[in-house]
Amino acid sequence: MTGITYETLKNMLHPGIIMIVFGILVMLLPRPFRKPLGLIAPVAATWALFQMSDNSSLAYELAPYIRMQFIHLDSLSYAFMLAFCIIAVLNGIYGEGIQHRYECGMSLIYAGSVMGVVLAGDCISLIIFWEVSAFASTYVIYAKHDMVSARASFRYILVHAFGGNMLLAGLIVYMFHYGNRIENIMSCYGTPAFWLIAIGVAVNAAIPPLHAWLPDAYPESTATGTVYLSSFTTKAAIYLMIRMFAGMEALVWMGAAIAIYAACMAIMENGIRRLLAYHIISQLGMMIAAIGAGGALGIDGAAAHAITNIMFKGVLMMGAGAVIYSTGRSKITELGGLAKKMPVTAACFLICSLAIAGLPGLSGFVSKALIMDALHEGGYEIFAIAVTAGGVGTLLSITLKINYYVFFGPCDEADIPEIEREIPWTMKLAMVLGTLVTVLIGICPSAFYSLMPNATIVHPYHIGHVMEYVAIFIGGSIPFFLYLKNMKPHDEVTIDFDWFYRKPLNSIVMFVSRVLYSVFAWCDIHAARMAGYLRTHFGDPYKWTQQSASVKVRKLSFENENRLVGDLVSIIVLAYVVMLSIAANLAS
Amino acid sequence: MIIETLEYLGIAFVSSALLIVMSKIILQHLIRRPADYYLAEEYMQEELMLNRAGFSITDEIETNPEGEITDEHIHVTPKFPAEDASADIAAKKPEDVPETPAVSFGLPEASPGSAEIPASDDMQPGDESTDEGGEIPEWFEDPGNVEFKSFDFDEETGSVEKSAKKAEKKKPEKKKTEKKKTGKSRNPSMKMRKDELLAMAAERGIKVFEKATKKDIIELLHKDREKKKK
Repeated sequence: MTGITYETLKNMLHPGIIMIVFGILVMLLPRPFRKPLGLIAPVAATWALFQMSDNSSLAYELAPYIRMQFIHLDSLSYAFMLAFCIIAVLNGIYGEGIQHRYECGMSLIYAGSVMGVVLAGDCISLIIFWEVSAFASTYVIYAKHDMVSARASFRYILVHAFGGNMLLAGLIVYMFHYGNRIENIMSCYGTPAFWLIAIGVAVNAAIPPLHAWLPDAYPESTATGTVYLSSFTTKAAIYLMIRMFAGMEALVWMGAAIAIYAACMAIMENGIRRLLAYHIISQLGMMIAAIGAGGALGIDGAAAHAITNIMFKGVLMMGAGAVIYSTGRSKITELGGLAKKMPVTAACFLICSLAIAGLPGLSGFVSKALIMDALHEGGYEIFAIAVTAGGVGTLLSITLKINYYVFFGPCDEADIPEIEREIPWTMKLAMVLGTLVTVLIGICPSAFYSLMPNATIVHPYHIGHVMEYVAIFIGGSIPFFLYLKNMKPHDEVTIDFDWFYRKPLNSIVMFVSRVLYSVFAWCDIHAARMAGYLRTHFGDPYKWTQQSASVKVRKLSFENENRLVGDLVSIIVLAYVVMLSIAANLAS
Repeated sequence: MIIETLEYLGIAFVSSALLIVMSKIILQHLIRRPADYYLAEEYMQEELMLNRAGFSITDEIETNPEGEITDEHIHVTPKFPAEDASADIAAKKPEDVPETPAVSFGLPEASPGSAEIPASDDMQPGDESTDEGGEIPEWFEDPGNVEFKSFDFDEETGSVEKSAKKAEKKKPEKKKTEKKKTGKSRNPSMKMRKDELLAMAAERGIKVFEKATKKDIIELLHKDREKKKK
C-alpha cells in the first residue's frame, strides 16, 4: 500500500513546478538560505525527471470534458526535458554568486515554466506556462537594471504579449473544434485556428520578420540571463512546432531562407552577444527546415539539433558573458587577443564554435547529419545546399570571426583589454562541463540518437560524410582569409525589422499621446469653465431668489429674516422626518 | 567520393564568398547606421523623463539654498517639446495662465513665450491657490535675476495647437540662446561630442576609462548626478 502511494506521488512530481516553487522561495528567503537554491532547484528538477515514467500524470478536471494534463511524457518531451535540466544545472553553477535575488528567482521560474510547456499535455496548461514564461523572461532581460535593458524588455514584452494572445486565440478556436489535446494540426491547415497558432508560435520561434525581438533583447540581459534566454524560449517554440507543424512543406524553404538571412546579419554584427543571437535564429532556420521535411528523420533531426544547440550555444553565451564580465566590453572592435588572458574561456569557446559549424567529432556534426539526411531523403536538394550555405555563414561569423578578432588573432599587447575582474571558478566549471557534454555527444552519436523521438539509426562517421564537412570547413575558410581586411568589424549597428517598432512606432506613440494630452487639456479647461459658471450662477440661492422677476419668489428670500426662524423650521422638519421613520419601522 | 567532396568544397567556397560580398559589401551600405543610432534617441527621451521627474532647476536650487544661482544650476537645454509645456499650461484655468512663468534664469535673451522650463510642477489643474496669489513656489518669492514672462495662451479657443505653434515658431531663437549659454551647464547627451563629455566628467571629478564610449560616460554622469541629489 505504501509502495503504491509512493509510486503515485513519484509520478506526480513535475520538474517545472519544482523549479517555479524554488524560484518563489529564492525571492522570499533570506540570503543564507536562498544562495544554494539556485543550484538545488535544477538538480531537484533533474531528479524528478528521472523519477518520471510513461505513467506519470498530473491532471486536473477543470470542467466537464475539460481536463488539464500538466504532465504528458513521451520520448520527444523527455529528450527536450533532459536538455533543459542539464542546461539549468550548468546555469545554476555558472550563475552561483553573481545573480541577485530577483534575477535568480525569475530565472528559475522562467526555466520551470518552459519545462511546463514541454510537459503540457493539453492546450490550457500549455498556454498558462507559455504566458508565465513570457513574463518571467521579461524580468530576466530587465535584470541588468539599466536604461537599455529596461527598454529592450519593454519591447520584448510587447512582442510576446502579441504572440501570446495570438496563440491563446488560436488555441481557443482549436479547442472548440478539435479538442484539448496537443497534436499535429496540419489536418486543420488554412483555418483561422491554424494561422493564429502559427503566428503565436512563430513569434517565439523568432521566424523573420517576427524575429527582431531576439537580437534586440537577449544581448541586453546579464551574463547568466542571456544563457537562460538563449536556451529556453526558442527551443520551446521548436518543440511545439515539431508537435504541431511537422511535415509542413513551406517550412523547408522558409527555414533555409532564415538560415542564410540570419547568417548574413551575424557576419555584419559587432556586438559579440548580438552576433550569437543572430546565430540562434540561423540555427533555428535549420531546425525549421528539418521540421518541414517531416518524417522520422526530419523530426529526429530537428529535435537533435535543438538539443545540441542548447548545449553549445549555452557555452558560447557563457563564454561571451565571461568576456563581458571580466573586461566590461561587448563589442568585437574593443576586444582582441584574449586567449592569453582567458585561456579556459577561449578553449571552451573555440570547441563549441567548431561544434556549431559542424566539425566532425563534435555534437553539431552529429545533429546536422540528421538534418541533411532528412532533406536529401525528402528530395529537397536545393534547400539542402541553402542550409549548407547557412552553415558556412556560421563558420564565417562565429568560428572564424569571433575566434580571430576576440581570442586568437594577432593583437598588440597594449590593445588587449585589461581584465577588470577575474571570472569565478564556477563560471569556468560550467563552461568546461558544457563543452564536455558537446564532445561526448560528438563521440557517442548512437547513444544520443537513441534518445530521439524515433530513435533513428544513422551512421554519421562514414568517410564520405566526414570528407564533406572537412571540405565545407576548408572551402568556407579560404574566402575569410582572402577578404580578411573586409571582415574586420566596424563600430556600427545594423538595422533590422526592429527599426519598425523602434522608430516609426515610437513616433506614432508620441504623436498619439500628444493628441490625447491635448484633448484632455481641452476637456480640463472646459470643465473648469463650466464649474466656474455653475458657481457664479447657482452657488448662491439667496441671490438667485432675489434676482428673480417674480415677486412671490423674491418673498421666499430669508435674507432679511432672523436666521433663527430658518433654523427652527429646519429642526422641526428634521424631527418630523425622524418620527416618521421610527413610526414606519414600528409598523413594519 | 572525391567528386562529392570537391562539390562540397566548391559549394562552401562559393557560398562563403557570396555571403561575404552580400553582407560586407552590399548590405553594409544599406542597413548600417552609426553606433548610437538608437541610443541617441533613447538617451534624449531618458533626459526628458529625468527633467520631468524633477531634475529641474528647482531641485538644483533646493539642494543648495544658500548658494548663489549660477549657470551651473540652470539646465539651459531642456529637451521636452514645446507642445508639452503649452499643454501643461493649457491644463490650468485661463485666468491663471498669465501668471504662469516661462523662466530664463539670468538669460536676458530668452524670448517671450518660450517654454524653457515646465510651467510649474507645483501647480495642478484646478488649483485654487493661485487665484488668491498664495502658494507660489519658494524660488519664485525672491526672483533675483529671474525674468517672469507671460505665456501666450489663446483664451478663446483654449486650444493647445495655437500656443504650440507659437512656441514652435520661436524655437530657433531659443536654440540660439542655448548655444550661447551652453558649456559646462549642459545636460550630457549623445548629441555631444566625446571630448565635451570627457571634459564634463573631469569637471565633476569622475574617472573615465580611455576606451569608454559616449554611452558609458553619460551613464556615469547620470549616476553621479543621482548620487549628488541623494
